[in-house]
Amino acid sequence: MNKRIYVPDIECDSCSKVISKRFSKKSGITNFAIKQDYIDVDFDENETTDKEIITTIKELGFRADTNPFERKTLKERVKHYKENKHKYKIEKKVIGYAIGIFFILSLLELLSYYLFLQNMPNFLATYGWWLFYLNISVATISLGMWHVEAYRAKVTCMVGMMIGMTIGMQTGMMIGVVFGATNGFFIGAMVGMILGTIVGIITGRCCGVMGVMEGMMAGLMGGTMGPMISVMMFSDHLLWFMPFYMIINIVILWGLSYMVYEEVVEGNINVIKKSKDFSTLTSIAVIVTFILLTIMIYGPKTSLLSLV
Amino acid sequence: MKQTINVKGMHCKSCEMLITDSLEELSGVRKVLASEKKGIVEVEFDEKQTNLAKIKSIIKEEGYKVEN
Repeated sequence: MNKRIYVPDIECDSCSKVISKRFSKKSGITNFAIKQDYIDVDFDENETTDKEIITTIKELGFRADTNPFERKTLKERVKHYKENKHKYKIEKKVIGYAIGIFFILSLLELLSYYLFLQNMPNFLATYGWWLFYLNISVATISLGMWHVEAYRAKVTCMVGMMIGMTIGMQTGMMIGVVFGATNGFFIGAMVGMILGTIVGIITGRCCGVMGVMEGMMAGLMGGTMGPMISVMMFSDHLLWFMPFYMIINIVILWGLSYMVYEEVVEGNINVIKKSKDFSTLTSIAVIVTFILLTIMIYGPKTSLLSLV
Repeated sequence: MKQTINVKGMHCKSCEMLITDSLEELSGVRKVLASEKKGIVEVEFDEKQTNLAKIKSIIKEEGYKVEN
């Protein structure tokens, strides 16, 4: 009997070799051909079944089925979400946690303002909007990371590279643009680049060295591009530009979460859901924001900003 | 006997599985732990039945570089 088994996670020579080795040991399989997304298997029905073969493939950590893995369209996914909210517990938390972290950070900053920051001349005029954008950036980036980390599964190099690249790049872009506006290009690039690279490494490591490299390169690129934008646009409607810039960045991070769900979680029985609780996530976000605020307020500033 | 071998060229979970499977087929090998992140393969084996050179040659046969 001949069966086509769909295995969408085959992506390198090692994957094919691992499956080949396992198949050669399994009795009943007479012939097989491994292609990019599927395997054509000839087997003796008296000795094995297609279900057994699928189980063998799944044991190796790959998704496998006799039917192709169909992706839901965005419209179908939204409909499915509305009808099966219990299946999307982690995704439901993302929105709530992001809003929660944003408000906690804003409250702490407000408290700091009334306690001591108001004594600094022109504090609100200089930093007001940028604190707002910093809080949005920290909340969305941390939730993007949280969502990716909430699912433990075998991640393909392609997906892992996309994760490292997107979060690394957006971190550099979002944080860099804020620091470019408050401290100038040097500090903006340093903060954006270092933070973007660290985040790129943390998120890209899910698939190994390729993801880490991609995350580092994206962090470097985003971290230097972000402050470049704010420095270049400082005297040309930067504050009008910012809402659009931030919305697009948030949409990109949301798109990544959507991609992770479709590529890693959907139809994957081997995925382990293990998310960090709200208090841990908030504590990390508060510590990072505190360090960033200290650099922003007390760190060096370019003399160019005083000329504008 | 337990030995840690530095291996270059592993880049994903499949590489780890491939090396683990191949070494486990060798008689005398008791336990294999391959880590793509650390770039190492930890092997526990019976010296009377096999040796380090044999283990290294199997890793090489799978297309990976073994460091001394």
